[in-house]
Amino acid sequence: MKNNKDFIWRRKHLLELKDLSEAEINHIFETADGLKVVSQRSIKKAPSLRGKVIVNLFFEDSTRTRTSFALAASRLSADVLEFTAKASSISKGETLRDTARNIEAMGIDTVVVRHGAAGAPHMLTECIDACVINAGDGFHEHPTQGLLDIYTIREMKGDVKGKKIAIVGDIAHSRVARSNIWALHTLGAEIFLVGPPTLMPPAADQLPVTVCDNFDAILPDLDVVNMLRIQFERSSGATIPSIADYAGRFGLTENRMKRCKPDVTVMHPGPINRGIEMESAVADGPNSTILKQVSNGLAVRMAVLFLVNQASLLPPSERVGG
Amino acid sequence: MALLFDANQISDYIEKLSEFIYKDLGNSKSIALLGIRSGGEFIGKRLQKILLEKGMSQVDFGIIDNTIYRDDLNLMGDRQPRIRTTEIDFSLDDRIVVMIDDVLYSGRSIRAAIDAMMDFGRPSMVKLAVLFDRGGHELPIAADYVSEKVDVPSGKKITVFIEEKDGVEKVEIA
Repeated sequence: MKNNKDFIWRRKHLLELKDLSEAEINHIFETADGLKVVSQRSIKKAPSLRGKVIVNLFFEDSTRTRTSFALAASRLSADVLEFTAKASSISKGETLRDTARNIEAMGIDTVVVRHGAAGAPHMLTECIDACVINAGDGFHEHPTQGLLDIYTIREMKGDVKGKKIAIVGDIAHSRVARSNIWALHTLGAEIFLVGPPTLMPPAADQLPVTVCDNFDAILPDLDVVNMLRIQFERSSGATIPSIADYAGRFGLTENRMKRCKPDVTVMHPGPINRGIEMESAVADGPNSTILKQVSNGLAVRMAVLFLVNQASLLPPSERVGG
Repeated sequence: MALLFDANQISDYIEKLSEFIYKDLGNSKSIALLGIRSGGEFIGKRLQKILLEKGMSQVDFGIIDNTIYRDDLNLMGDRQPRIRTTEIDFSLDDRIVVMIDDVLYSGRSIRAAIDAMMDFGRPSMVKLAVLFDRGGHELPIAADYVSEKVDVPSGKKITVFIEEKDGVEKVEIA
């Protein structure tokens, strides 16, 4: 779907994909298409966000997302501030609200926030004037990961509409899964959640998906398989009998790949637990788009940074979501 | 809306532009045309065809989007810029590059396009070809090849409609 050339991006914040329309998602993708070239040429810089200050406000560990946002901001010539909770006044009891307001007082334009509590980014929008981008909040959403996953699917498969896409693994604790589900649903994909019942969200039947615990049965029909890691750090108590049992039933192995369509796209948001959800040969194989997801993530995040800053120039009455 | 030129006249102006370029650069081993989105991209494509038909041995064609280099990104409000793709599949290093646009006005669009182009490589020479120069330059930028100088009153806009992009071919002032 091509957007109307007069489409205006009206969101100063990107908090979740659940509310985004098809036109909004496509606009992010078209913008990412235009910005991708910056990272592909020898001078990997453009002046579009020159003079803007972006803060990475991360209260949870991160490799890919933090680095990706920092690089995306840098590619657009913004200044980047890195903030980690461990090395901050948070350890002295400062609240999230006070932390953000103090940083904002130094003059910042955009906050990229990752927090263990769902809703933390939304709360921030109510106490600071800067643009807020959710980089992952609890089990809620990870919007830019969802976007880059689908941007990659679009690159590999063309139109997402009608494609059969499986998200496999620890869905219950996955904000990435939720972001993917909402945006894929909006774009008309057919979504399968695959995994043991103990790793399915309690209200999975209320999601626009088909839940399945027999991975082998649906493999031949799938266009895309998006594998997730078991998030041991987020789950309490035993959710699987053993890692070996899980890998045997839900791991993407070379044998399972033989049952898939030859051009099936294999994805993973990272970090990978090799040998558990995915064999190394599959992760590094010809169907894998794991590294492409990372490079696409840069273009998508550049697009999001650019667009939220553009929306901040609109009068509040013409914005959506604050 | 007042019609200034029709399709036949536009075709003549593109041919005239090609003659200027050919007269100046026809003996060059190769040149690269860069159409500036969106006014220059289809004009540039036509110029490539004409120059090759005139006998130039190598005329590469690319499209450059200057949006992210604009100097008014923070001033546009609800006239939000739309970033489109740049498509240059050849090196610009040591090349003679002719940038193509439909209308030269303030010169800011050309400035942005030049800055965008320079981040792709280092041409040996850069020239600018435009169909129409309406004056009112705000930067010290002038075209090397101009099909026609057009007197457009301040406050009025000249719009070039191209068949491949707009489904119709004409120039209007409004």
